[in-house]
Amino acid sequence: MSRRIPSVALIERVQAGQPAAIGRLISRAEAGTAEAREALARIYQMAGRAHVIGITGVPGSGKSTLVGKLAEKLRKKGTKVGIVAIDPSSPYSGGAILGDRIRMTELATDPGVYIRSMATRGATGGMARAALDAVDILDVAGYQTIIIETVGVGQDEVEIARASHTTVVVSAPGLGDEIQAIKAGIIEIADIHVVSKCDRSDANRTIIDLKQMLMLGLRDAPKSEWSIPVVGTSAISGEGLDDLVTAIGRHRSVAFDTESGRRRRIDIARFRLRKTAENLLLERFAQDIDACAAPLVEQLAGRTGDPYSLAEELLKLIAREETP
Amino acid sequence: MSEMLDPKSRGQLESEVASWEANEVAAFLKKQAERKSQFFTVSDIPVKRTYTAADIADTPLEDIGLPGRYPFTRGPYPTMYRSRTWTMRQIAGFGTGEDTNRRFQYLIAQGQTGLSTDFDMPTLMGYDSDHPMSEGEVGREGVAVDTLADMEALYDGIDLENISVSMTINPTAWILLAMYVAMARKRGLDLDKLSGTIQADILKEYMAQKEFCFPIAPSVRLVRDCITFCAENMKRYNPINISGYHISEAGASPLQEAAFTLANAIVYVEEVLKTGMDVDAFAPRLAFFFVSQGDFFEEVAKFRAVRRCYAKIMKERFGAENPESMRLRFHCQTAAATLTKPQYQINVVRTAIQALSAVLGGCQSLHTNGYDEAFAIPTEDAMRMALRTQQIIAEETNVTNVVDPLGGSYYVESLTNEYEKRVFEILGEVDARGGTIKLIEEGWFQKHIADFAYATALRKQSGEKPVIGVNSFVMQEEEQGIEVHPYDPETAERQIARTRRVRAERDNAKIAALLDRLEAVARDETKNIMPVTIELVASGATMGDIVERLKKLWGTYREVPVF
Repeated sequence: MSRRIPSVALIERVQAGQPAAIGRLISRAEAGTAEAREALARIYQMAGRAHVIGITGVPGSGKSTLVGKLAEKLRKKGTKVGIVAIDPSSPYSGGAILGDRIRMTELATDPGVYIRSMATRGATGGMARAALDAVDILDVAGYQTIIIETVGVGQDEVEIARASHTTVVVSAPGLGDEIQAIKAGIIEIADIHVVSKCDRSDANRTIIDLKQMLMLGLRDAPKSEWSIPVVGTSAISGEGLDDLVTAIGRHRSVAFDTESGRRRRIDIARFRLRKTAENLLLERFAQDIDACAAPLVEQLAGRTGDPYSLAEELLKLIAREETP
Repeated sequence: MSEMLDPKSRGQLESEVASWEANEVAAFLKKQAERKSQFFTVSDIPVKRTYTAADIADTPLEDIGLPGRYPFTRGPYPTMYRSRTWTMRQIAGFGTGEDTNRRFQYLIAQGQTGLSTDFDMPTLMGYDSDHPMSEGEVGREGVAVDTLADMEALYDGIDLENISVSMTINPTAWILLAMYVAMARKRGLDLDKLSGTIQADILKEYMAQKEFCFPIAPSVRLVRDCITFCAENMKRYNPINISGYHISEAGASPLQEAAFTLANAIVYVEEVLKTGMDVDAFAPRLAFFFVSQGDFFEEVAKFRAVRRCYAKIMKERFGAENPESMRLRFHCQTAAATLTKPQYQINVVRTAIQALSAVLGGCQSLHTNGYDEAFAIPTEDAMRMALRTQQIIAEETNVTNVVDPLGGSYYVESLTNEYEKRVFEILGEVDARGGTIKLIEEGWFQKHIADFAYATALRKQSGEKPVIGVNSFVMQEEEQGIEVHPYDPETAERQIARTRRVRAERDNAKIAALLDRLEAVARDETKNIMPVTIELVASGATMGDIVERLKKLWGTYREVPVF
């Protein structure tokens, strides 16, 4: 039955905040079906009210716990919260989707919270587009704050966290050198730094090193409307969570009311356009390659051609195919 | 003793202030608001619009006291600069002993009254100049000292019985002290006439400056050995300079500087007491080193408050009886971290104002920074200008005529009280959390310093904390035709040649035997390591010989970076 409802017809129900409709439209966005495109295009133009927060950090940094606690705090202030958790495919944590859900159980029954996990497996390239579509759908559904949680490993995950108004990077003590090194690439994207698990005394070291590193960057930084805070939090004692909510609130006004916020939205739009176009290109490429590749593959297998010239030739063939 | 105001006058004054707030102040604020709703000191201590006698009415008169009398709030000596102005002690150190010696001779000729020595990184860290780790660093940021021969070149022709010599050296301080003693004995000098200091404050290294060779426990033991050795053999020599300066330069607030330095002092006193030595036998020679930062009155209050806190700690916590054990004496240096590259000439002005607060705070010796120190170690010109700055304060301003001229200022006394209260709160927290060494290991102090440093960096970036030339009154097209101190690329060659000559000429069998003895002494914590070290350096052992041997026994200290 569900398949028969056209995506465009789901829009009204999404606007009314019906969870089933929200879920269905996100699934279609995730599947990337052409049928949904029209609906998603309309959704995009209706969205733009919500404050979008990207939260990222290495596996084990306590992101999901933090997201749960943060959502609770925001709920207490009456804010409706949407959560889009982007989960890496199996190599790291096959069971993480379930894990996240369990950690968020107190929230799961709250109608003011919508949690959606999106798997990255098989969604190469399309994940960013789908996730940002999901954010728009939640926005249109009336969620005022939308949290995108990603693992800060991999270009796409980092870029998604960045495609938000406010990016929060979570670090944690005791993860060991190698894992922290991976994170080096995400330090600089933070609007707010969180050091989680601050009930542990080795968190001091994490805060010290983080601040010292940030200071190096500040030395030659131009005057800016935003100072990057470092907030220590503890899910056990609840320490720092209020500070985090305050910091996020302060950054919201920078994101919405200042010139740097406007530039950030332009960057997000550029990213979004690029990702969507990339997606379309890949889709077409996947179709065309089947039509054109067979003879070239034969040549390559028989070593009568080389991969470089044959690939050039393939691209020419595809271009010819696409020109009417 | 009585309080400052009787209850009746106090009541009158307080209602006077209330009426002033309601009338004059309120009327004025209606016309023009103040620049900020709340003003703070650099340490984030809120300050009031103005202070009156009511604000210090609760201060016991004996807490303010008199100069040269417990609790020494107003100065360690009764006559202060009326007898003798502070020691003008410009630090110097570069190249080999001969290079630095020439700078010393120049500074003495310009009217400097004490010497202060900066060592290069290898010397600070315990490597000989020809160790692979020393490559490129020999004589660059300070003078290179590997052997007694270097030390002799460094202080050649200087009258050590009449000029005090300070050595900025920490993990390897005891080796330099041993060289100093060996040199004095060779020259036939009376050890009891030598005055000066080694810095030797290892705890602040773990907290802030990060120059260390060994783990904390043996490092503190080395400090203890310097203190007890000097107490018994060098009665005018300061075996330690317990330092807030580096804590401050690492980004701490003036309040943290004061409190953390006293926390370190407490550890050293406790360590020496464990040997059974009486507190009054060594405490009079403990010396301190603080920065003079940018907040003029806060600095004055800081210096006054640390004297009072220290006096109370020594008397009440350690039961000292000799007033000299309770009397805090300090060297002061203006704040290098406040110096800027843009419009570098204005560093002279910053330094002059910081120097004035050091003098009004009652320092015993002073280093004023060179205007070029944001670029490199200072040139001769920059050092002369810095010395002249002190000479102007000493000779032309008349601030030296009256002891503690800011004593009794409602504001300064209030802030001094506030400092004392906050310092003891921090010390109480340190005790409650298990003591200084445990908290260093946990990174507690380091985190507090990093927090304040980061907050300051953000305030500078946002412009909330003005830095002239950097975030305000910036000159767009600035010529920076500054001449900086040159580094002689042949320094390392000259230095290494001497070290190799010493190694070639010495009796290696004797050195080997002495190193075995060194290790035996090091293993036995009840022994003092100084005598065998003196024998070693006198026989031609290098700093590297000694440090490497002890690293095998004690290991090293490593801070694992998180990122």
